[in-house]
Amino acid sequence: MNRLLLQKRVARLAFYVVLGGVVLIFFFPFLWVVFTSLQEAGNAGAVPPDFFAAPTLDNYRNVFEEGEFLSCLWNSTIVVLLTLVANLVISMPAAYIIARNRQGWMMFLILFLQMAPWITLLLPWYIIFKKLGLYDTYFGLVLSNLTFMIPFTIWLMLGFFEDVPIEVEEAAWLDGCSRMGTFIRIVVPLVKGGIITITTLGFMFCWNIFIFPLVLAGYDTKTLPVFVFGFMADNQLDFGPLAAAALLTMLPVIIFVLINQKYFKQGIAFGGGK
Amino acid sequence: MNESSSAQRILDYTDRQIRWLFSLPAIVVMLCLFAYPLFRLIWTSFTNELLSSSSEPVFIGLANYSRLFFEDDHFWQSLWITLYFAFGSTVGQLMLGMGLALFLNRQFKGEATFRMMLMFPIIATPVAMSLVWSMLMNPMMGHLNYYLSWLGLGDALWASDTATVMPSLIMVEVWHWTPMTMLVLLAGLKSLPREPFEAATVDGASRVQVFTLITLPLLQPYIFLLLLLRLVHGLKVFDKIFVISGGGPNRASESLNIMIYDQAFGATNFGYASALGVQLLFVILLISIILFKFRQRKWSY
Repeated sequence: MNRLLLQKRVARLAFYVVLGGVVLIFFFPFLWVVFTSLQEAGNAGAVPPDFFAAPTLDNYRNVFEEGEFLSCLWNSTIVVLLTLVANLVISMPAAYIIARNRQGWMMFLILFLQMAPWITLLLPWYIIFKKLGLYDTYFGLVLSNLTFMIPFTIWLMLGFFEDVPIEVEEAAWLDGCSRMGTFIRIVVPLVKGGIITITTLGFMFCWNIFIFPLVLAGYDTKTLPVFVFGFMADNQLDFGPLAAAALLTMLPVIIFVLINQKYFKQGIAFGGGK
Repeated sequence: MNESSSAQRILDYTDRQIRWLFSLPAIVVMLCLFAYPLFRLIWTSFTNELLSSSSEPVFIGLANYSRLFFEDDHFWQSLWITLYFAFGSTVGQLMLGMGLALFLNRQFKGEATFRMMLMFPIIATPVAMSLVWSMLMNPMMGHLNYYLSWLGLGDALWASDTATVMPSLIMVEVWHWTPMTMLVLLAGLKSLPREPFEAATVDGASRVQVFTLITLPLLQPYIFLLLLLRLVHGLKVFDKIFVISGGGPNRASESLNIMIYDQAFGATNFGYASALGVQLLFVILLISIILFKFRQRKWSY
């Protein structure tokens, strides 16, 4: 009997050891970037690493002194927020109509649209945006983000809208509520979970997108991912400031997702990823 | 008539037209962002449009296409690199994700925390993480070679060598997206009915038999969805390659995405870049259609 218990314990221990190893493999770049960002200039690239070196905040000061960092942080924030608002205003009504009318071909079209590689869309966009004066504007960047946000939102919201029983709406119509009013006052509050999921994943997608601002943003609207890329070219092999810049770039999105992690998991398990 | 009735009439009108009123904004935006640009892309691929010159582009027929098929050797290499990257990373993600899902398909203490930690690669900004990986893989100062030396392995050149650059990039892509395939497959595993597994255990089936004969067939819809999503995504990857290797060394990792970017914004060869773009679009479409056909045939028996 005792032996069985021991076997069970060993099995459990082995499970946690393997689990720890797996998590470490996926997590260690994050540990590394935190560690390196706190190293002095001479130490940051040392091999073997000096794990007990005194930490310093010099690298962070270095990034902030770059000047561009804060304006890029501002640009990223503005573009993300504007995209999220515009996306909800445009996509929610469309998703509602598709859900209520069960237009299967729309789903197929949405899947099909997701297949176009960004770079092939960027070629014509670049010319059109330049012609229309949308190049290097917030509006242009928001517009480019909407290309993946609208199909994704409609796809995800369909399920939420289909779960709202039509009887609820019919009751509101009988009480003299207009269809528009019913949608805003009755239906939208019922799909709050979907809205938070969209906001969480949308924040992540829009914050992280690189190729659109790389081509469509000039100096005025440069976002953080483009800043990091430029910073990399300027500070080659200077690991300390590079690690600090990388960490500062991803910190906001990591914090935002951690706050809403319940909705994030829901969205990803749904088949997420653009 | 008074004010309220005209307001009422407007309301009645919007109610009747609600279907169009609600879907019109989305349709207009999507048409502007997809339909016209795609038309423009195809049109440009038949011209000699240059970004650098202000002269009007001239229609040159199929010249761009004949150049790409018959004169530019790198197009075929680039196509191969694109497919290699997409298939290699998809297979890696699915196999690793499946292994992890089977491993984690149980209840244990700290489950939520561990799972959240596994999600970090998906959340973090890809450009920033690509930068981190390129530092880790630096042959001189990177830590990966140092850890390899712990295992008694020699130094690798990672992304700085034509032979190892593709495996290195695929490794980063697999690291990035395996948590997602794992999560989807885990959700699939948890939703499976229990009866077939119990019956198999009673019949004395081995673990391998249970996996290949019961688990895999039952998970087929999930695997198919992931295969399609990951493959299409893999064919579109730009950030990682652009940041880590930039298509080099010696163009050994220059996928179609990178080649199009370089042709368009480096060499300002917009007409030619558009022709390449049409090819990439075509490849993605073809692979998706083949996958769908394959699935229909598998399901018909």
